[in-house]
Amino acid sequence: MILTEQQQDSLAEVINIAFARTGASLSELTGQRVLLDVPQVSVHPISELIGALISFIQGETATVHQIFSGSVSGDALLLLSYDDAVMLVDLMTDEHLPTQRLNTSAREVLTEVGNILLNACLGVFGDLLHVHVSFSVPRLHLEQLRELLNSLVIGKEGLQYALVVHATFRLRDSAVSGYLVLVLGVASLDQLMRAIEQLG
Amino acid sequence: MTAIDWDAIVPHWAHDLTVQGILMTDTSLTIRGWNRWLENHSGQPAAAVLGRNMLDAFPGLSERHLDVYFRHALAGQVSLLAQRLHHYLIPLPAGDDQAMFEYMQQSVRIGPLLDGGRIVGTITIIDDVTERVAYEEELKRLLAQERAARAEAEAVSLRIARLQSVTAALSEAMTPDQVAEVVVQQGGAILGACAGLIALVSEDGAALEIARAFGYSDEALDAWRRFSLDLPTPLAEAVRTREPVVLASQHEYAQHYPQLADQRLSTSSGSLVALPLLVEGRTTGVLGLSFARFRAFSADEVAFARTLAHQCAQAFERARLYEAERSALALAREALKTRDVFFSIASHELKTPLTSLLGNAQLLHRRSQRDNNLPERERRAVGVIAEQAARLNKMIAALLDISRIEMGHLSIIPAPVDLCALISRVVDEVQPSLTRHSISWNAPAALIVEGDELRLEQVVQNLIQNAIKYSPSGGVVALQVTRQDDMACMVIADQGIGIPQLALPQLFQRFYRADNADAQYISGMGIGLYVVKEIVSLHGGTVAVESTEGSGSTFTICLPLQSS
Repeated sequence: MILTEQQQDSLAEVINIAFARTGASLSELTGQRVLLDVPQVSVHPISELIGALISFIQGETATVHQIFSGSVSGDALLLLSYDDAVMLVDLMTDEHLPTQRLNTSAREVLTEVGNILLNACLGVFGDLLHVHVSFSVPRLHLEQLRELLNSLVIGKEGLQYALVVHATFRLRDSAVSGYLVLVLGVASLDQLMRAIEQLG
Repeated sequence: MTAIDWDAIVPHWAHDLTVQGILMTDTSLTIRGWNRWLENHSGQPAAAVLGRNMLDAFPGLSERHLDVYFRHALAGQVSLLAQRLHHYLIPLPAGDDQAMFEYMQQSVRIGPLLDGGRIVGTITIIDDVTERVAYEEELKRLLAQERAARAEAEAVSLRIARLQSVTAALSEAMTPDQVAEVVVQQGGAILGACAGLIALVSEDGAALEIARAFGYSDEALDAWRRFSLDLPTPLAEAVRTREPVVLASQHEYAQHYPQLADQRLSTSSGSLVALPLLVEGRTTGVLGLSFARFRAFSADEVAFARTLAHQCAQAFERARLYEAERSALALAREALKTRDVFFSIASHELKTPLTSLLGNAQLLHRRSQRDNNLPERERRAVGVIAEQAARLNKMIAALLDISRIEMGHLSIIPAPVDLCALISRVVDEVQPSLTRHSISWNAPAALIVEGDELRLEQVVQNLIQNAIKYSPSGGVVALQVTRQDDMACMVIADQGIGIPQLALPQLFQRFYRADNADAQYISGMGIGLYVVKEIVSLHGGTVAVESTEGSGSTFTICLPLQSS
């Protein structure tokens, strides 16, 4: 499924609303001005997802994973390289001593940040579709991304699509980049795209 | 809406749970569940909180914007509240870790409470993570400590490496100027100084004179080129007290040296370190380092600066001694050269009148003997004149030889010489004049060497005369010539006073005389053996001596045989 330019713009606009909400939540939380850049959006068949994230997939990654269900269902992921994840936590918590590993408290922070971002995005979609979407408790995975992505495909029926959003957090004069990935069935994606088109 | 059985929503065992806090509200955030854990930790029994509004019971939630998570839960979202971001949801005592945290550190999940797919309220699970966080903090502290220790160790090893490089550079610095340059430039750079100088105590000990400086303005240096040791300045104080003076702040500067406020040496206005240069308890000068800004100095840095000053003082002393040595050597060489020139000129100038004097004296002496026309007393006097003039002539000839050798003018005109015939002739000449000595002489038929006959004769003459001179009580002088491989060797042994063991190494140096010769009133200039050695060396031969004080000396001369 290939998005038209107009569809892509509309989708980016909707996600931008979610990112603005996320920025506001994180700012309130940290007392720091947190901004999320206007995102770039693309859609790939799940089989091509690994290729789209290939440069990212090489090293160790930190992934916040949340399952959502309801009229639309799927998996929501926030992907960060390990080093960027460490940096994001340090920036969020104003650590004076930069850490090199993610301890349990740092993992919790990362999970909460992912939780806020994923909730905001899914919340916006839910509002848009006038459907109720419920979420599982977010989980943090520190493993090879390839294995995690493979596990998402296994056992799923029908064609799966991945909505990939390049996200950049800006705070304290620093920038941390990662990817927001929504894995949806073709029916859910169709539904989403129709709702978005009605906006314009 | 049917009434909700709150007790049924969470099973009874979860209500009794004592490892996690479980808190439930309805959609209006009225507290509907408060489990045993919460009772235990808050000290509030369920009866006291059930039915109260969550935000009223805990006003801190709204103040800290945490109420939003309950609203999200009512919208179906699950939220996780990280300890590091929020520390706690509701304030509860921290238990064992009270010293470290004001309240129990909590990790919290808040989500919707569903009844048949319908959101009927919120459920909050609270985990006590105080112990974990305390452990993490401790780990972080240890890590920071370890990092600091490692950084310190690295800094120390870096400074040691730099000190070694300075030491290496200092060991190559031969002049005081070079030493000053190394210390001021390299040492100053290591400590981060922007300017540095070395001032030395003047010869009269009353002032300091700048020997080397970098980074200061010309005007500043001109003003401070030389200043009294009595002045209240950090440099002079370091010399006076023999202790480093470290001015780390403006305050210290103003307090100790208020009068210097507007005439600072430094081109900038920062810290100043003055270190005395001590050598064997003497203060020879001071090393001053100026910094662009005021800064504190660690004990380690001060220790490094002290070491630098110590190295500097030592190198300075070494360079000073080296220079003194060098100039003394140059002076001595100059003196020797002057003496040689004097010898050369004097000998030549003396030679002319002496030749005339000697010629006439000998003429007169021979005539008086032949004609017998002078009374006995006059005839003896003429004899003495001739004899002493001849002696003087020999001495001047020896001096001339020395100056020729020194100036490299002593030349050898080589031709085949029969060493045996030459020695035999000299022995024949000397033998008749001997009264208390006898010469025993033993040689093969002929040994031909390539040499200058006149010079070799001088060698043999010298050795035989020495053997006679240094055996004042008489005795046998044994002369033997032998062939050893491709050398002709002459051995001459006497039974005289011998040479002290200590004198042997210097024996062939010019003007050297062994102590026992003077003690026995044997005259001489210390030239003969020097000339012997030089002549033999020019022939490619060797001279050796063996001697036992009191029982005689043996000289061996070996000369290369003419190659066939």
